[in-house]
Amino acid sequence: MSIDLSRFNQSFFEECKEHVRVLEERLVELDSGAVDADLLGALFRAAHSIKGSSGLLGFDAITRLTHAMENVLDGLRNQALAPSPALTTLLLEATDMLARLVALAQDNEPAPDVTPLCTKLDVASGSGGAHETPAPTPAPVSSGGPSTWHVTFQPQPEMFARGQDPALVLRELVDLGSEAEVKALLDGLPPLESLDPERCFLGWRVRLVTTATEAALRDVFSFVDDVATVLLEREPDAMPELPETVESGAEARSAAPEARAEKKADATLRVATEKVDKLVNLVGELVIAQAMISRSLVDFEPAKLHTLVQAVGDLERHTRELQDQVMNIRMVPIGTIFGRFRRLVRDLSGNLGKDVRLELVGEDTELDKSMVEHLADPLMHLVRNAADHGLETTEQRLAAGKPAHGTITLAARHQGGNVVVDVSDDGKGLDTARILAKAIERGLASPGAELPPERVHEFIFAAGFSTAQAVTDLSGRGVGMDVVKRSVDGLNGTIAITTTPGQGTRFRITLPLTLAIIDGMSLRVGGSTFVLPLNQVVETLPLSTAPVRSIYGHGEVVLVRGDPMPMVRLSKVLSVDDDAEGAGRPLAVVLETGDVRFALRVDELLGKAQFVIKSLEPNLPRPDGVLGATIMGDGTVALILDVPGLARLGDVRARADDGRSPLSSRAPQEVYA
Amino acid sequence: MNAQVNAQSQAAGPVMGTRQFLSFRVGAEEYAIDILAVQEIRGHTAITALPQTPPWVRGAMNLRGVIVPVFDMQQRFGGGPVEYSRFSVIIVVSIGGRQVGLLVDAVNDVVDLAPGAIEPPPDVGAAGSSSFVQGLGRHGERLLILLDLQQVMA
Repeated sequence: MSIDLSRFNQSFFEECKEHVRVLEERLVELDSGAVDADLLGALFRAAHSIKGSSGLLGFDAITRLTHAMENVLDGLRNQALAPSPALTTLLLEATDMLARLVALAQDNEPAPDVTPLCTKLDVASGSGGAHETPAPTPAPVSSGGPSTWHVTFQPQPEMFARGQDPALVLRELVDLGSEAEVKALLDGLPPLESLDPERCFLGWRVRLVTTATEAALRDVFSFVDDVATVLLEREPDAMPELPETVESGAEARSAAPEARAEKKADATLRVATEKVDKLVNLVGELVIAQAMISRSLVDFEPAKLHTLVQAVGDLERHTRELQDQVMNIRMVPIGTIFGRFRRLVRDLSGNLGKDVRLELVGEDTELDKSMVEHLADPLMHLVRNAADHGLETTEQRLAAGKPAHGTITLAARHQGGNVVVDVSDDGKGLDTARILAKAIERGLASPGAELPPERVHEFIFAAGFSTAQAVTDLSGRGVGMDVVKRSVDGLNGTIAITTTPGQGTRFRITLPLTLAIIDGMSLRVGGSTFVLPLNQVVETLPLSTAPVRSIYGHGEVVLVRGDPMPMVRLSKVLSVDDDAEGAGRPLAVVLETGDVRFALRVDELLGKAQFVIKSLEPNLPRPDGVLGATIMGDGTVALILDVPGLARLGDVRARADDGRSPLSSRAPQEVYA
Repeated sequence: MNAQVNAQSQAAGPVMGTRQFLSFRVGAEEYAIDILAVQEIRGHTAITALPQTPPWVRGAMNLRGVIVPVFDMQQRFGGGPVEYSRFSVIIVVSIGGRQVGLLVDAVNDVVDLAPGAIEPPPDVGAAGSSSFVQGLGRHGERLLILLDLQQVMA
């Protein structure tokens, strides 16, 4: 029986995406002029690998396209062709189309016609389509006319033993065509005396004129293809030469292949074998440690206590290592998304008429796979903004005595338990005065308010905020920065702006390594333990040094260095009994979320640690003010508090810096704890 | 636990359509739920109170890394809180992908009920908790209140 190849499709798609990424990332390098054999080899291999697998799995459009790309790349490799920006653009266009084809194939949707694009590639490579026949020969996608096929059918000698009759197969094949010519291949026929009548020694070669597709022809052999060799060749002259069309490229570009391709990206995860091996080793050691404990518990006597203690210690160590390694499986290098920015910047350079260069730093920095995917869009916005607004035009740059080309740097690195991603440009910097003017115009700040520049810059994260003089194709519509901020918030991260007029702007995104684990501060209120996300904790103060005042109509405030700050009690918002007034040494934990700053009264701080976030859903709807739960060292459940939720429950209003509210706090003294 | 129960149910099913129920006690009454919904039975487990939840949500427990809410059945039926001691029992049930622990006073046994032994719920007027009652099961001298878990977990 024929092997069902469709089960390989998923890994093929994964593989394709990887190769497409390589193509996207490295094609751009062709522009730099430094064309070396390594680069061309890598590009050629990527196209070639896709061609090979797609041919095997019957994705004909992909095979055809990669074949045409391969010809161009081969030309470059043999130095028959010279690299040029136009050629790079064409190859990038083909890569876009390829990504789209893969996405369509993944959704089981029919492939669009790739002929125009292939023709363009063939013209570029000078191969005109008759250069070399790819294996297997692609079927025509668009031409409806009959074509001529040469089918070689060579059964293995055991074919009869499997109950298969070659005559039936041949008849079925011939029935498909309007015109057929069958020739027996007698090469394998032994002399009469050694001829075994139960074995098949004949082969056939069929010339068939048919309108059937290659897939239909292959179907004829689906019952015998494990006991026979079948070769399908198509006479090349039947392929119609179509006029070059410009639309196909534009269409491919507008189809946003990334969006489609990533829809199912979460389904599988490719993990380096090395990581899996480590896990296997660790589990092995874990089993040994556990066996040691079991054994020392048999005939246990106090004298053996130290062995037991040691074994439990081992178990602990291995468990911790196992946890790290399992988390590590989800880690992928951020370079997987950095690559696409090379392409983006190249396109932006062209569209904006600016010479923009992209520098990537720390592409190996690893973070959680789902974080990497969610980070792509915000980074895209930031890079676009940097190119469009941040960088000056070439003339302005030269006039300012800067190099003609602007540089955008994407840098990632680990810092403590966080990943820090910087998007910086060497452009003109943020125009603080204009942002403030715009903020006042939009009612975000009151005229005459004295605001430190950092606070002013944060206004660009307000929804619909744009200071761009003209709305360009790329940015300036005022959508974007608020989306960036929201995306980063959604990843439990923070974003900060540093800007120097005339020197450039840096957006710094600080993210936890994974969504599943947070850095938290555990604390006690009454008899319950809670966890606060550390990135929202600004500072903690003993209430003995910060007096609490009750203001009629405003609830309680705590005076932080003389400034009143709203105070929230869990006993009020979550009905958690806290320690009686005067007992113990209560503290105020100053929390910040978005525009809101408030203090939370707690009875005791227990410590800082990492906590695994466990969802309450679907077993229970998430209560307001609770982000999730976590399991403490003793196996009990502790709740992780949701700071925005607490602010809502405590009716804490947005921090107002314009002096309208009597409860306004002064500018933050330390924003990031 | 589950596997054993299922094995029993196959061995002891002389009457067609006989269903097995796990019976338990809350206060003075004996209740029963379909055994197929029962995932496991736990002894005393640490429970963490959950804020912003109805009074019958006693809290959440850690079931091998999964956070499972625990419902106080007596309060669910409109009574006062069950005394939670080391003799308390939590029946973990699973319906439609949701897991919930039911805090009860004691678990009794597994009973077989033929379709004829199940009566429709009595019409007792507007008693708040009657919507939880799926029917009444007669088992010898015992009268079991069969619970509609969908309603209990709603």
